[in-house]
Amino acid sequence: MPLLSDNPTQSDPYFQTIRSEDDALLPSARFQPRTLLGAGGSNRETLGQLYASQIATAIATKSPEESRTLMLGLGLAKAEMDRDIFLQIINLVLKVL
Amino acid sequence: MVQVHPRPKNLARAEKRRSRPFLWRGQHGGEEQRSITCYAPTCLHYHTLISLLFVLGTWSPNYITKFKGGRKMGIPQDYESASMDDTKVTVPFPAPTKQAVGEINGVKTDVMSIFFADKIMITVTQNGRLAQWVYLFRSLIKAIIC
Repeated sequence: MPLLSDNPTQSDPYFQTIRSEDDALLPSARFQPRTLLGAGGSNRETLGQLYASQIATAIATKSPEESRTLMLGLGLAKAEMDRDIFLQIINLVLKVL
Repeated sequence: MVQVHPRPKNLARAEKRRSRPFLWRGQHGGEEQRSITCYAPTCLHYHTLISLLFVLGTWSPNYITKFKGGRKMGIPQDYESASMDDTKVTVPFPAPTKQAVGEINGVKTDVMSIFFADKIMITVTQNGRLAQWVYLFRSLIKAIIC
């Protein structure tokens, strides 16, 4: 049995909990985005990291061989945790990927 | 450049002209003798001569065979040898860039992505602001694949 990591649920693909196709659109918990500049409060920071995780998941789904670093620049007028706004922004980002 | 002039009758004026940058020849002949004025080569003449040599040089067969194939001077165009080297990586320039515009919650939103060789930069901008930068390392992106 291959032991790929100390925590098999974190990085072992055989113990992956989110493997179904329906939940594949959720951002992976493995991504650890880091805020470089301008967090602007915990709410905004969380939102930015959520966007980064979602976009990285989309990139990794589209091109699995992708190995480049992702840099996300955000300039949102309001940091709203709204589902529709989140999906609209992700839709816009998917257009440019 | 040789010109034929009548010998000057006033020798004093001719002596003054000797200080000018050209040569007088045959000044000590008879009154009816016509002197030949030979101008000394000036900078303009040297320029003409060098230009002539340059034009002749460009039309030499050696030059034509050297720059055969419509290549332009001064621009290194030996891409074949660069692509043959395995140690060099050809990076497409400019980086692939895409843009999209949409209206989200009544606010115009610009999204732009630039795919660099080592980074993917995505910007989401509303009202022209760009305040927050989030970074996701390469190894962490690759972690989902393994």
